[in-house]
Amino acid sequence: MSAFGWQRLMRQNRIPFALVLLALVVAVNLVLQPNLLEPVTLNSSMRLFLPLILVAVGQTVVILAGGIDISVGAIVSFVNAILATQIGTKGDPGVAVLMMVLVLFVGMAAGAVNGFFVAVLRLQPIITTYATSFLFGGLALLILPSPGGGMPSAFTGFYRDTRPLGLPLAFFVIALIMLAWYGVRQTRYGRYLFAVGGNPDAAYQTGVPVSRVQFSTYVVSGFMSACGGIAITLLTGSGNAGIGDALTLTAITAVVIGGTALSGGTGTVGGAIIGAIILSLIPNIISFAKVETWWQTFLNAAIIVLALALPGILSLIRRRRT
Amino acid sequence: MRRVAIPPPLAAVLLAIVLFLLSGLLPNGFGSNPDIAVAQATNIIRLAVFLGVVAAGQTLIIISGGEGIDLSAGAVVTLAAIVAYSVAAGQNANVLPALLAALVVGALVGLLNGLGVMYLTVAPLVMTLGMAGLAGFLVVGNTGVVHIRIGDPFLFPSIAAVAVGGTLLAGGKGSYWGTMAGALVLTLITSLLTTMQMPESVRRMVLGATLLIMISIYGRQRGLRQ
Repeated sequence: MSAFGWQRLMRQNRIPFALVLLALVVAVNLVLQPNLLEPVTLNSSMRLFLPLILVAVGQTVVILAGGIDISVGAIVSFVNAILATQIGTKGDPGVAVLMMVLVLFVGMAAGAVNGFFVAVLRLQPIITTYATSFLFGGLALLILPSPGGGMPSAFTGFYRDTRPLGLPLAFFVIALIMLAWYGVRQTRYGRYLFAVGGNPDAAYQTGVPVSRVQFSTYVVSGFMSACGGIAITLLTGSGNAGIGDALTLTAITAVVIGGTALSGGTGTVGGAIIGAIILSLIPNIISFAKVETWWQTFLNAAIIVLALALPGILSLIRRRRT
Repeated sequence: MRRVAIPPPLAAVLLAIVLFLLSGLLPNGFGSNPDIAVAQATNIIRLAVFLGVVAAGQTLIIISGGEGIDLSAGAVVTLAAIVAYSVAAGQNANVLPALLAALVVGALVGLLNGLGVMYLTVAPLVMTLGMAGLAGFLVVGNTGVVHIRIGDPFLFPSIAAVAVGGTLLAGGKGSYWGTMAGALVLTLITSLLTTMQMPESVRRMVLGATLLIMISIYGRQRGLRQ
């Protein structure tokens, strides 16, 4: 393919960019860790990546409709704190299932709070969700002041080791999300999402219920964050009121790498999932590259900043050429 | 609905005075002793200066709009403090170089933030969060200790102070006078909560709620219906 055609493809659809990056990351990872794609290793990697994937999917929906949610990490922490304190390692299975359903509603309620301030009161999404992240994070810390609590081993074992058809559980969750996303895109709501993110004024004038659509995206994000919270609790089997903190930036980064514009209106959920996998594989590569611990964390942060800047660097080069 | 007639900076100053008087009514407050009240007021202002300085930069970024926000401010405070500490190495003679080094390091992080936002068109939120991560790791590298985060408590109040001072978070309107008054209000809220021996969780929730209330009053964007 000519350089020009390649660039046009990248500009029109950013998924190829994410796919190229994924192929590159997987290839490098395979060299350093040859058993990466073997069933057991694959499963232990995917179960680790799933919380981020879930949170990034919710974030995509918000960003598509022109918003942003920086309270996702705090919602994950809140959900984790509820599950770890209310269930415990010797908890009753019935109670555990009930609590896991309940926290989904907690997540949606938290999202509804965000949605109320952003869509109904028309406050700025960044600052609003930053403020609510202190509310949710404070609640997490209130019910779980120091790390503790847990989940029954039957549940954590199910999450960690279930491999239907020999494939990681996470693959089925991803397939379910993709299917649901495909379904949503066919509906009127799906078209509204893109319209609201692209140009809210024009959408409003053509009769799109802009506020209701914006509100709903935060509820979706809260729901997906709660799912992420459940996954991370099942993964770690313990509670920590700060467990979700790091997820916020990584999830937004995953969305951006996946080709969704932070300005809203264009993007895909599939891209965000690929972005989340790329971002999860990078620390894996760095740890197998046997560099010092400090350099590991530094490299990881530097690569994230670089990945975010890459589209900008490319367009800068393009502008210089013409 | 009638528009609020009091300018935000004045409202913030009034709020600060009310909060200060309230703190005097606490069981362990200054009560009716004017000497202690003056000493406490001086102390509050001294504490508010730290926040006021951090919030000064934040005000510039937020006023200039474009969804500008600096989430690396807390990490930069930590980094600069550690740079100053290591360069000074406990010697009086090293104070000037230490201060210079701290300023240069802070400006460098800011430069990278600015380059990323303006030339690479990375969203300010993402760019500064990323840089906060980088600055944090530099701190760990220099000290070998992960949990030195003396700057972190400044980040959220620095943004809240700007909002309390009446600067529009969408940009284009605001003043540093307002931010100074805002810094005073936030310092008072924090010290009130400390005096009342509230746990970290409650403090966070109160700070979050304060910001939410203030932006609900000042920060509404125009409606879709005109």
